[in-house]
Amino acid sequence: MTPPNRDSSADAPSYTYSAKVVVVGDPAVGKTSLIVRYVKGMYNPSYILTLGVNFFVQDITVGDQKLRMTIWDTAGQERFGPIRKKYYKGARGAILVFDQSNPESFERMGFWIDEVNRECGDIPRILVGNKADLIAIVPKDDVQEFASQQALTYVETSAKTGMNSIRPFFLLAPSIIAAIEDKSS
Amino acid sequence: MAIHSFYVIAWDAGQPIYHRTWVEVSDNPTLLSGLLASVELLALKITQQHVNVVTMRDFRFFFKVDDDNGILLVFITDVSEDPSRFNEYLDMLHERFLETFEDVSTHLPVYQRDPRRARIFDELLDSLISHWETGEASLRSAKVMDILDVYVQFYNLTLQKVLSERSLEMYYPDIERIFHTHLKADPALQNITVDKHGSVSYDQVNPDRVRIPALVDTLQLILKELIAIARRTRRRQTYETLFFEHYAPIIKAEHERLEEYDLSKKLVMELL
Repeated sequence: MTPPNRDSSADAPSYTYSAKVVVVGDPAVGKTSLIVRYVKGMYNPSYILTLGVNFFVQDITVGDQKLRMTIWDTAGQERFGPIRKKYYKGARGAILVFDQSNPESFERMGFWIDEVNRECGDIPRILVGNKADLIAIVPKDDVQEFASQQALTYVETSAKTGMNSIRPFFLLAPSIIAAIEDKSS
Repeated sequence: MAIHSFYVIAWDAGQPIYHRTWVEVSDNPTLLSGLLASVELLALKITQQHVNVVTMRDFRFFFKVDDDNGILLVFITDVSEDPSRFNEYLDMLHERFLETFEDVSTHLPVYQRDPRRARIFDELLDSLISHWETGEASLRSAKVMDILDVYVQFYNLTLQKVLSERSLEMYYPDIERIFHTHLKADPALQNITVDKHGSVSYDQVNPDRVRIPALVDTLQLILKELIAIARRTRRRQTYETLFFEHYAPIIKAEHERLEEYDLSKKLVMELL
């Protein structure tokens, strides 16, 4: 499959797919920063608690197809649990984010995977270790082992420096299109 | 949202375990707990079922019984509160209460002598309530985005897969006009656009400003006209084949959202 690109209107894709993508993980792991860095190419250092959900729409061209991702930035706060579950409806992909400098956020990845499984079923997903600009406390071997056990592609990112911040979305896009096409066939 | 009080009561004894009041009234927690437990007990005796909501003049009482832990949770609010939403909040508080007051039935005497846990729960409760309003606004926005997302998938299918390229080119002025005509009345929806490749965008729509019933009506009217064009350009048999090839898988994949927003019947009737 051709590598994905940000959309260029000059080349008309053969079809525009639409997919809801949820970004989940513990509070303060950098979910909002990661999305904003990808969508707007900027980083805001001040932490703003995401209340409920924010939405971002971004087009990615994969070969001759365009995927319009509606990226849902869900609140990690436990207290929004019952509300948060409503946001999973119709999701076609998930980005699971933890903070490499916060071991607890990595330990909780099992919880987030279970929630995605329960609410969305078997949808494409990517594991992201954010804040790569800080000293990593979570051992890389542990992350690789976990990713391998869960059959997840793992990406290290830094929303602050911009390192790999577009990669999780670009890796996810072809899998989402493949899953949609698979369901259609 | 006007919330008056929240009570957690030892179900069998009718004794207060925890209570919090946000209005200036001289509640007697012990007396009121006994009365609230009696209401629930009376309902159980007469109807053999727990009561969920009781409305009395300007007040609404939301009840939740946890038989396993022997507790009764009660919210007292204004009569205007939506029962379905409030029962959901009560479920959330129930879960959080049991996390704060572990094994409440066994440790109740200890908890009653130790106000620290109550203070922890005070903070949690206040925080939850202060965020509900934002949470509700956010849920509403989520609904708008979901509805847009579902309809736009059918628009894109119609324009890019059901219509032939030649038909899309030929009918593009009509398609543009359809979108313009139906969207012009609502400023919140004017940012929905369609390009010459038949790709519909809604990323500039501000969900906070959209009225949901009007949104569904408008999106449905657009769909109706797009389908009319598709039918005009395809023979009946071809359209039916295209329906099963393109629309049916999306209807299946989007079953949950279609049901959640009560769109299934509307959409399927239109497409068929």
